[in-house]
Amino acid sequence: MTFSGLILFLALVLIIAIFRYQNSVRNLQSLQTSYQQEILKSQLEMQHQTLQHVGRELHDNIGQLLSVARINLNVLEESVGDAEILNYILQTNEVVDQSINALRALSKSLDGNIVQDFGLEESISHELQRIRKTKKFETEITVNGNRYTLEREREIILFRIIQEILNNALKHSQAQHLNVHLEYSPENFSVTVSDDGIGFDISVIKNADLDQSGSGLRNISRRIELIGGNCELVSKIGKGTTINLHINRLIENKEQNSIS
Amino acid sequence: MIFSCLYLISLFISLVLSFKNNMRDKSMRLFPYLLLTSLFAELLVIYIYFILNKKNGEYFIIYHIYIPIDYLFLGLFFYYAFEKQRIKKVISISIPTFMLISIYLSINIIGFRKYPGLNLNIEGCLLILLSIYRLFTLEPNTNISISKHPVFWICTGLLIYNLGGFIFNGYYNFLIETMSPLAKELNYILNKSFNIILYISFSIAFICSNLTKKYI
Repeated sequence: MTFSGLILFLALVLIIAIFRYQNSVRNLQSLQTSYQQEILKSQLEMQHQTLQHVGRELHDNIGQLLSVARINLNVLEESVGDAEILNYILQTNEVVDQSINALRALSKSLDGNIVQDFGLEESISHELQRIRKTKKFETEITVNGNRYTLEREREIILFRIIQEILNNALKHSQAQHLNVHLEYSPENFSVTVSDDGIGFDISVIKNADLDQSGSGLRNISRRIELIGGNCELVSKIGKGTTINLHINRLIENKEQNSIS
Repeated sequence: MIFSCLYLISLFISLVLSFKNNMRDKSMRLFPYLLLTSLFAELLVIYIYFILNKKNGEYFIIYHIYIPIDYLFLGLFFYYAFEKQRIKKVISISIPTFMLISIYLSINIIGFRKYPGLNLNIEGCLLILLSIYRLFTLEPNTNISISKHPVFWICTGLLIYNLGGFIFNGYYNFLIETMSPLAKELNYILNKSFNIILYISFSIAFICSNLTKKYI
C-alpha cells in the first residue's frame, strides 16, 4: 500500500515534470519563431529599402546623365557633316537609348512600390518582359481564378521571392522557356514558376554540406513561411524545375498581424 | 550477494561514465568525486564486514560519516544546477545545517553502531524536495527532449532512491531489534535495488550529458 502510494506519487511528479517541460519547450519554440520572423522581417525591410534606393539612384542620377548624353548626341548629330562620324554618333545614340531603356526596366524591377502601384501580376509580367528582352528566354504568364490582392507587404515579399526564383533560373537552368502561373482560389493563392532547363537532383542539394549548399532555397522557404505559405520544389535532371509557392489566403490577417 | 555484485558493478560503471560527462557543466563536475567517495565507503564496509568479520553494526559508522559528505556533494550539485539566487541561498544554508544535524544525531541520539535511518530520512526529504523543484523548473531546450536531459535522470534517480528508502529507513532500527534476520534481508534487497536504480539513472544522465554537451 505504502509502496504503491510512493510509486503513484513518483509517477505523478514525473508526469507533471514532463508536461511542464514540453509546455516550456513549446513556448520557447514559439518565442524563437517570432524572434526569427522579426529578424527576417527587418532583413526584408532593409533589402526593400536598399533596392528602392538603388532603383531611385539609377533612375534619377544615371538615367538623367544618360538622357543628357543623348541630348548632346542629338545636338552633335545635327552639327556634324562627316558621314563616318555621323554614323558613329547614330550608333552611340542607339546604344545610349538601349541603356536608358534597360536602366528604366531595371529601376522598375528594383522598385518594390511597383507591386503596390500596379499589382503583383503586372509586376511579374514586367519582370518576364525584362527577361524576354535578353532574347535568351521565352516567357509566359498564365492566370486562373478571380483576381484579388493580398496585403501589400505580402505581395512585395512574394514578388521578391519570384524575382529570386527567376534569377536562379536565368543563372542555372539553361532553359529556353520560363512559365509563371498564378492560381487564385478562394482559400489559397499559388504561384508556379517552371522552366524546361537542365534541372537538378534535389537530394544532392538537400544532403549537401552547409558550405556547399546554396542559401537561396533556404531563404525562399523562410520568406514564404513568413507570409504564411509554403514552398514545394520539383526537379529532375534533364526535365526542368518547377517551384510551387502556396499562400493561405484565410490566415492573411493573423499572419499579417504577427509580421507587422 | 548477487545484489551486492550488481550494485558495485552499477556504481563502478557510473563512476567510469561520470568522468566522460560534460565537464563544462559545473554541476556535473561533482559526480566523479561523489561516486569515488561512495565506492570508497562501500569498499570500507565490505572490508569491515567480510574481512574483519565484524557483523554487529560496526560498519554503520561508515554510513554515519558518508551521509553528510553525500549531502554536501548533492547539495552542491543542486546549488550549481539552479539559477535562482533565492534557492541557491536556501541550499547553501541547508548544506552545513544538515551536516551538523546529521553529526549531532549520529553522536547523541542514534549512535555509530546503529543504522543511520533518521539521518537518511532527513537527507532524503531534502533531496526529494530539491529534486521535485528541479524537475519542475527544468530549462526548456528545443534541441533535446526531456528524456535526454541529464538533470532529469539525476533527479529521477534521486527521487526513486529516496522515496523508496524513505519509509524503510525509519523503521529499520525497530525492525532489526524485533525481527533481525528479516529486517536485514529486507534492507539488503531494497537498499541494493534502489541503489542500482540510482546508479543506472546516474549512468543514463552521464551518457545524455555527453551526447547533448553541444546544446547545454
